[in-house]
Amino acid sequence: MQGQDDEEELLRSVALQNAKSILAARQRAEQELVAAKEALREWSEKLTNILESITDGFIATDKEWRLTSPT
Amino acid sequence: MPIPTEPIGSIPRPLRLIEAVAKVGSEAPSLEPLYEEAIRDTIVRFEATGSPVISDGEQRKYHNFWTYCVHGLPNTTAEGFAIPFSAGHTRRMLRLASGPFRYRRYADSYLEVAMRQTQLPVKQAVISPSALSLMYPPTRIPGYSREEFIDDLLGEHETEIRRCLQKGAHKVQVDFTEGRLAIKIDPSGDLLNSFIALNNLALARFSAAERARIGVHTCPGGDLDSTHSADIDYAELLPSLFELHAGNFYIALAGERDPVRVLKIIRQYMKPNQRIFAGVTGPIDPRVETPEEVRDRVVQAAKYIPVEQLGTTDDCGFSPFSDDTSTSRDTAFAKIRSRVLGTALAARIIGAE
Repeated sequence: MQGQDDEEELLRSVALQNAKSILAARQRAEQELVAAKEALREWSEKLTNILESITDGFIATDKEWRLTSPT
Repeated sequence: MPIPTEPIGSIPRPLRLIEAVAKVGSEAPSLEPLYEEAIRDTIVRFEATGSPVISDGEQRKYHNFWTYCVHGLPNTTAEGFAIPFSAGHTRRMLRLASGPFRYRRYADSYLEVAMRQTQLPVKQAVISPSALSLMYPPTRIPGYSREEFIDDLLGEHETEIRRCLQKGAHKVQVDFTEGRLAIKIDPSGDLLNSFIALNNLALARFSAAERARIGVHTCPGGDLDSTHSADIDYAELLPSLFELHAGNFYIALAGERDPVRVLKIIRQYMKPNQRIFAGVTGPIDPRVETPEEVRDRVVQAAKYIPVEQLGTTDDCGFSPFSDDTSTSRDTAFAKIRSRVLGTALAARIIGAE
């Protein structure tokens, strides 16, 4: 019984140490998501600026030549 | 739209195979004909039950549903944690001795063999990252941090699921039988929450369409007709369980003392995009349920779970550990047949045909 208690204590210890690493991994994943969203926003802004600054007419199509922009 | 019904995964291995493995080990080339015969027989008998979705019965998962992917790795030892069962025995897990952590085999290797032998949809069970996270030892492995381990673990789990999805698995079911065990070990709930966080980190790597094909299985463990955590109240697990970003939940229910109470908790916490596969047969109960008993369980479940979100399953695999002979293959398939027939009977009553 004592052996089982010791084992459970050890298991708890491992799991709770893991919890700290999991939290760190979660924070990293959240930071990566924030960075990806920021990069997307910047790219979108850049694209908008380019489109707004050109004086020629502009349309965008997909591979099937269907109009995708302006929509 | 009929009520979907799926197995959990394992079917008891033929005695001849179990005896041969005990003699020569699980990977001896001489076992190939026995493995092939076991898989072929499992699929034929699965099809005969009328089950619309089948598995390979985990005939090649050695030694169990938990460690199949790492069994035989040279950088593991047999001194992992012992999980105590109510029958008085324990099952010992593996421990990582050095990095890096890599799977030795992915479950899609089982899936593709099964898919070649049937026209029916095949599902594949895989082990959760949270279960394998317990392989890292209490003290730091020199040159391989716990953080590196967690990253590698998530990568390997993602790879395994992707391979199964790409090969056409009907569903990929993540076995999360340590949910209730986590509460038993740490009643504060912190451990369970960290398990949920880890598994969600893995699920976040998949699209919504992929997550619709991913499920999570929870039960109180099943081995030698006993459990490891049936004494833990579902009320402590289910609210956290439904925070997992999976589309399907396979929940042991038939063996519960008060299934209505559990169904009420499910109703309270389940989310609109989640399908609940309620356990309607009990693998650790030696008695074979009748289709009518199953029917009544399904009808009862439908009072609490919207029919469009309801499915049925077995409470657990029939032999998650490969040497478990407490249930016969005949009994397992008889129970599956009752699940299939009983679910169809209930569908007629509920009007879900």
